[in-house]
Amino acid sequence: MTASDEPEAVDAAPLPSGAPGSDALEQVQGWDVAGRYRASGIAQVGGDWYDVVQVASGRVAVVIGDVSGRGAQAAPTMSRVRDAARRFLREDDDPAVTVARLNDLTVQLLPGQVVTALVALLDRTEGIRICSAGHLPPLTVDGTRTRYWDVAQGPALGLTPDAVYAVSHHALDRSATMVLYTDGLVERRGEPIDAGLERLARSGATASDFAALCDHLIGTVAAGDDDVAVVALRRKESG
Amino acid sequence: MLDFDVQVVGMGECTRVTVRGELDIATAPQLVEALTRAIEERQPRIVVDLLGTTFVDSTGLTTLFRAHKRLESQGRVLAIVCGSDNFEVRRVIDLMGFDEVFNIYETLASSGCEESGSAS
Repeated sequence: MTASDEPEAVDAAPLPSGAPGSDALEQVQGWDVAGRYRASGIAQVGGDWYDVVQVASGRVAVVIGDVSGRGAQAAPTMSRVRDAARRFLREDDDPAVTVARLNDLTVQLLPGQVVTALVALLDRTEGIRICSAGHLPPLTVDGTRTRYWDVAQGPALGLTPDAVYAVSHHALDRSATMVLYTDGLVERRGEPIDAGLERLARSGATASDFAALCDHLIGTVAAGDDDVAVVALRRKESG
Repeated sequence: MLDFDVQVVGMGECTRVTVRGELDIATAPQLVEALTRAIEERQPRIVVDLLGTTFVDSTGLTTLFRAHKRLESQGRVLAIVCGSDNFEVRRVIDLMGFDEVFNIYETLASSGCEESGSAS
């Protein structure tokens, strides 16, 4: 692998899973998954993405990520990392293995690019396994109760070849919804990041309908013109 | 107007880049320009002073990271001054894991780039 293998153009870059017009509920066995993607400005694609991957073991992996920078400049890196994540997860569904491989790819083939990403592996009996590369923590909403999970954190992708990534285990109750999001949802100029996280938690506590949750959060929390990706998931009632 | 200002000052063996205000996707291009100038000064050490930086986002930190890598490949050093009392900026640095790659110092004195006289 060489540095000259960097992507140069957006040509043939497919839209992210959560591109405009594809905001329907994802059909995933055992789980309800809803996602929303909003690109900044007039761009169709940007640096944020989410993805839902049915892995070989019958489990489901959900990926969310954010390439530093905005709009079309970040899109080639986004599609590269997103596609690699799909491939890696199908080969080995351990979230930490995929994140470590994505870090190697970013360090070696996309030098200077910085990507935050979070991979969650869903298993209805074993719970949720998470590995985060510098990404913001998942929010869980259970009625009016909200909580941020303290997940295993390593550095953002691309920072160092010596990065170490671990997996943390979490239980998502039947009544609860997990929300993954990118920083465009919570960041506001001149405001501490924690104020944005508090605003997101407050908004999550007032949401009523799962199908409309992502729109509700974007409508009530997002301030700026940054790319935003949000994905919500919960256990299906049956099946 | 954006609340942002960046200054480059040569200080003997080091070049100091002082960043004030909000460093984000809108103001990062000004930092890129300032860092390019600082790198061209050819001093072995560039110290980026974030003591007066009130807000930083991933694009701002990525700008610093790219300068860090470029200097490192030249056998030079990028040092960052960000006191632990600058909680907002330090939180984003730590959250994204930049603390694992940056040389971070609490004060200008500890960064190896303290001014001897008074300057503004």
